[in-house]
Amino acid sequence: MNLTINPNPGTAALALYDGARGAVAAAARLVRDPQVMSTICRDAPDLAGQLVAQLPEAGAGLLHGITLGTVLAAGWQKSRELRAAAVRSHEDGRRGKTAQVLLAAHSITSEHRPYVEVYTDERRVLTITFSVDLTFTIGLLYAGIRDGRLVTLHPGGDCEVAVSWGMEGFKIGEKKVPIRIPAVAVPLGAGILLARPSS
Amino acid sequence: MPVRLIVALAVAAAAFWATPARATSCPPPPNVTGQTYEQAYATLNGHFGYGVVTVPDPVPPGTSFVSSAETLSCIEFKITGVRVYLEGQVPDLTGMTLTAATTEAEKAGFGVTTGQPEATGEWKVAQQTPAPGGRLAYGQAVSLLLDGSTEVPYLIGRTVAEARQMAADRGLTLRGADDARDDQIVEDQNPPGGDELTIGDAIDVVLSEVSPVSPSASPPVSPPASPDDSPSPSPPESPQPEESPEASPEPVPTVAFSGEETGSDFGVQPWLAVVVVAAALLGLAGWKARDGRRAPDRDHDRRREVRLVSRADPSPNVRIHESRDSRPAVRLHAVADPGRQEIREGLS
Repeated sequence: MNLTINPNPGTAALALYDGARGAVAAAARLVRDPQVMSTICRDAPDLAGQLVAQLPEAGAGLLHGITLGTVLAAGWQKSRELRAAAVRSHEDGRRGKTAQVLLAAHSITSEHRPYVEVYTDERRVLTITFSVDLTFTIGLLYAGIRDGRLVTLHPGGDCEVAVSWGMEGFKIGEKKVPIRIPAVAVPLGAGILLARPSS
Repeated sequence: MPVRLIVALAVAAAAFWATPARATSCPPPPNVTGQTYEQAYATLNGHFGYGVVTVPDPVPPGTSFVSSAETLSCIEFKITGVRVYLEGQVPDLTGMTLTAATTEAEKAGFGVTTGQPEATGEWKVAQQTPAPGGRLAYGQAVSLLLDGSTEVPYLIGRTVAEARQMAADRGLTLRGADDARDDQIVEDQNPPGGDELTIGDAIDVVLSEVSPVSPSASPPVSPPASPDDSPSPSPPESPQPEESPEASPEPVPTVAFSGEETGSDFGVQPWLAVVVVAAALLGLAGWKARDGRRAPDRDHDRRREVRLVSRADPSPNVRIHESRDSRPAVRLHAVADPGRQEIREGLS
């Protein structure tokens, strides 16, 4: 079992929109714009009608696939302070013990460029790139480090995430919302690997 | 210089008097945000004895919630009046026409807004923000996403009156039928039935020619069903007995005049001329009489001219043969990106 971080909202789509279909509707609004579709389909204008119908769902699926917990975990794995604490946790006398590390106010940014490939008759004719940019601002974090792993989390301040997403340079939506990161702890031996023991 | 000083002092004095000193010196009211209006009123008025002013005033029907509250007046730091800003629950507008949704929203104390300036009142609400049941300050607008697409009805074979009604039922109009009679038949349409149009658009129709006959033969005509309609319009094939070749009017005048022309020259006897003229007049009268009797038969012939009317199947058995689809089959392949994360530590 690994440490899992389940913030609320849980995905980039839910941070942007209240309902599950909100992302689809927002993308649909954009692709209905003739100027947008003429730009996207400049190399295959005959596909515009079908893309208007199918692209919003595909784009929203990509947004739903970005889980905030995974992004946060990947960000904290790059924290110098947490990694230093993880290296120290392998030293003699510290193994098996959980050291509490206070991570002061910090931010985690994450840039995603997922894309949708359009095939006709199994031939790729278009590639439509989406952009999803996340910026987390986290007040305080008490992290438990044991045997090179991040095993507990206790956020101690306000957290918020700013999300923006777009398609081929056209903005679909953006929002800044507070997020709640529940305090979590995991059983011995699990967690997010920050530093391996030196051999 | 003294003039500038005086002006500056005057401006400062005006700013001082214009500043709402009461607001800055009064304490804030108790926190009633999120409470229903009734709960907040009980707290502010019933418990503390404050006067309560609402925005909007009067309070709209239904359940209202306090979105914020501020001190309206106080005397020596003691609150005497509180203004509460109310919000309500947004009704479910989805599925309604824009016109109906606007009426419903206004009834509940809200406005509506949409980013689709091309929309007409017949477009339907596909989505709304806030969602049904969500809270919104009174007077604010519910954002609507409208859908103006509608399916084109199958009109071929219908009378103009029927076609007009069917089109109107879906928010469409007919083009090419402005001066048409109600009993004329739609022979062709564009776009075809089953396609999609935007509400307010027009369907181009081609109508049957105006027929002079009574409308009893009108709509919707099904040519193969009636054997009377199948014969060709030529008189010999007509079942009417009056149309026999010997009843034809042509021989009468021909015989009358041919006899004169073959049996005489211009130096005829006067009595013979009188006889010939009399015979000619009689013959002409007889031909006229027979021709008059045939008149309705000719109308009948014209009515029986074969006219083909195409009629679409209003509920066709549609099958999709993907291999014959002229449109290219499109497949989308979504590729996720785990992203590139960076952390900035030690923010101030």
